Amino acid sequence: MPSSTSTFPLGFGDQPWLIRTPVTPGTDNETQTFLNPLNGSIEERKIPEMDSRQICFSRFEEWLFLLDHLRNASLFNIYSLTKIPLPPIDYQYFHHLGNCSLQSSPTSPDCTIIFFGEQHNKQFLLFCRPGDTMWSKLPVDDIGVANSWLAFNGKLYVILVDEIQIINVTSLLTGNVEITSLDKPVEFSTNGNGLDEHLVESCGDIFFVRIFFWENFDNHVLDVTGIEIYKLDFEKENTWVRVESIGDRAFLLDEFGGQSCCAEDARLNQDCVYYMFSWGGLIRRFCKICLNDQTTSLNLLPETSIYYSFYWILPVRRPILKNELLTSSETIARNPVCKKGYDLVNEHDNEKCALSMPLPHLPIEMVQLISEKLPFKDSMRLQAVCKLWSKQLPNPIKEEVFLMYCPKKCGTCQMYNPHKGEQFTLNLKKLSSSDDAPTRFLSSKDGWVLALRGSDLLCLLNPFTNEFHQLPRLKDYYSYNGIAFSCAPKNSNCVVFAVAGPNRISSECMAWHYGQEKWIDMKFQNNLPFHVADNNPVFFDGEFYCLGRRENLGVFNPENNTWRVLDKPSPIHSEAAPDIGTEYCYLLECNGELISVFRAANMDYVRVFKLDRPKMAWTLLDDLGNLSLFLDFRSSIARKSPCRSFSNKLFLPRLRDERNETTFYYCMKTQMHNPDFQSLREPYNCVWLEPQLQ
Amino acid sequence: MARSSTENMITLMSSDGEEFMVTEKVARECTTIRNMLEDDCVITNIPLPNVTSDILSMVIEYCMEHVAAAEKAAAETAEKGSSSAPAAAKANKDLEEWDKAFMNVDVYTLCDLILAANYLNVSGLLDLTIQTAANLIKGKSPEQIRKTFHIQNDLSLEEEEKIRSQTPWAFEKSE
Repeated sequence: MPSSTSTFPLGFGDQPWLIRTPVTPGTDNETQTFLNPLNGSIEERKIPEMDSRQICFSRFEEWLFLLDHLRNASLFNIYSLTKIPLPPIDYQYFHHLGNCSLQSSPTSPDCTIIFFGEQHNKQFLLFCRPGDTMWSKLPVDDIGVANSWLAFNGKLYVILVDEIQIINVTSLLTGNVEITSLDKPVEFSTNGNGLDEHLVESCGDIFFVRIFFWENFDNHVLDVTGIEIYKLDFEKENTWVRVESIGDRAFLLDEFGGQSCCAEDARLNQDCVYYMFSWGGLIRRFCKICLNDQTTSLNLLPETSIYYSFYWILPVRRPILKNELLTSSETIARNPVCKKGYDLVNEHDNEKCALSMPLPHLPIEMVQLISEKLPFKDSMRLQAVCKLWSKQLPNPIKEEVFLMYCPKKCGTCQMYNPHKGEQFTLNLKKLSSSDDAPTRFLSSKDGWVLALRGSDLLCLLNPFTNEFHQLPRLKDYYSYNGIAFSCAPKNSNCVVFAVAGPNRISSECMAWHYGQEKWIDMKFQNNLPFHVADNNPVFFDGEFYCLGRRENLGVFNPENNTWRVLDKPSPIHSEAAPDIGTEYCYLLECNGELISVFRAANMDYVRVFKLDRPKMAWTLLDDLGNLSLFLDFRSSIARKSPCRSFSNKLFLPRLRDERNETTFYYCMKTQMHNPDFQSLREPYNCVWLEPQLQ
Repeated sequence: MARSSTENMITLMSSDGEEFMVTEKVARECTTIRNMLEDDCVITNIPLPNVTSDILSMVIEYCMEHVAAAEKAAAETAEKGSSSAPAAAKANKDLEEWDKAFMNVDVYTLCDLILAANYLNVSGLLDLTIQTAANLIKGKSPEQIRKTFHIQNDLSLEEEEKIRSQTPWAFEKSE
């Protein structure tokens, strides 16, 4: 524990903290900045033993490798405040050094600090062990540019663009570096334009974590869109096995790599990945990815004027027992808590009077009132009680909109209804898989969902009726910006259409017509500049309408497989399109009209337009009457509001917070949204769905 | 309660001819009766041919309790200028407890109460009884629901199977 406890924030050592370090040595800052990930609070503390002009280059557990602008190096234990001096780094290498790894703690015999360097196009490693009088340089070939690395068991695992290199650290002393390579786990496509990969060691196992996100041109991560986690199976010749859960652990990722801890000991949520984005950028986001319900919640941190890095300090290590990690996770049903306001009527009494007297006949209106108070599944079962009820009771899910999310290997997925705030589990055996291939929801229409299994297999399924339709396998990985289908796959009217816009000049499309055994691939030259937005097409008036990044429209005609870009409506943004990730757009059909919605990523503005078809121009709408719009790039739905409190509001795929009574919305009238939408749980694999039953 | 002696009394007559004297305030809890009184202010005797005496006495008991609770809350507010939040919360909880105990009835009575609450239009009681019935149904299979409410299964095997097969997810055993 710290010798001068008062200099540390309260709770230091009991929970993880983020510590800020300047990116360039010598930045004069009197204090160290500590960020509490549990509540987002920031504390400035002065730790006398820590020279604030030093920067942290690497860390192993509670040991930091520090370097100052005079090239003096040392190892520093943040808890015991012990310092181990290391020889200074020779000036001739100093400006050619890249990333650095600290291999185990100084108490271990294999403790080595390794720099990756490059000078005159020649690569070298510069390394040093505590007790050495100088740094040793070793020329190497074939070492790739490391993105992230993990020091484990005398080996350094380095993630490169296309493989993982394993450097045997003890071989450095022989002067001949031993390097082996390992394949990276397969990558399943997902949304977003960026990804980050890290290795994490947890209880003796190695995990590969791949996070997908949207980033803007300044490499600012704006939104996490997915995560894949693989475990290295040492017994099966080092193959990667996809896992859906990390059990009672929490992973903490920063730009130095990943660490694992027992969530309970660290006061974190179990089965969660805590991710701090910072590549020296000014805008920073701190994200919690919950694997159990496949949701993310983001926290925006205060902007700083200096470039800093943040790195995680784990709580003081405690002995950890190895816990069995789940490869196929159990579903933890998160049924809403029923209010136990009333006692059940005494069953025993019922039995007594049951035999003698017929019950008073409840009019169907009363049964309907009861039905409305029931969860969807119970309400549904009333239909099978008797003829009258089956004929007269309205179908409880008919008028509702659901957010389908969290598909698991075992075939379960979650259905969330924003109106009732109710959630239930559906068991879709057709979606269960024995292999690693994940299921990703792409689009929905008429109660059917279009899903991608693995990377090249598309299927249509109706989750409420359990119908399933497999589409022909794609020739290549699925990599389209948008995809939509015209109607349920029941007859030749059903067409599935996908579009990708590699640039403004051309559009790549593919289409499948019901009954055909193959996809038709097409490449069109755009008659006008058109860059498809990250938003699904909408089937409207017999054609697929695609929204462009500058709010113009591209249209695909499925009858003759033709593509045209409309000269009207003209772009709304007169200048350049907004940066990727700063604005989200949606296109939807509502009562025979095309509606488009544009919103700032931070909700600073929201604009809703209707396409004025005679004039072919977007008209701004400021009132939606009694409509509610459920927005998402995969599919957006307009609905007559189920109740007045839903009228004239826009809904995004966010789950109800335990503390909040309502789902997240934006009100068109007040132009306000209910608070805290950044930190609400957002499912990263979901789709809005309006059930249609036979 | 000095005013109660001067308050109008209304006689409610059940289907089996029993008479219940209640204050107008209590009677007005039933929207159906309130509308009658507003249409014809001199009416003092109201026959309720759809409600039996035992059920009517329960409805009156419910209305009296809720009127008393509302009066108590109003009196406290008048006394202190504003009602204290903890006191109001406690009063609410007490009333909830009372409702809960009041709902400890057999299913036969429950159905009668639903019908009476609907006919007399006592929104609080209707809500309470409907919720109680819903709690009774929650988690039950169609067969168990039939048994609870003594409903004859007039669906053929095929019909029932068809309904089940359309939404099989609703008929799986809940976790």
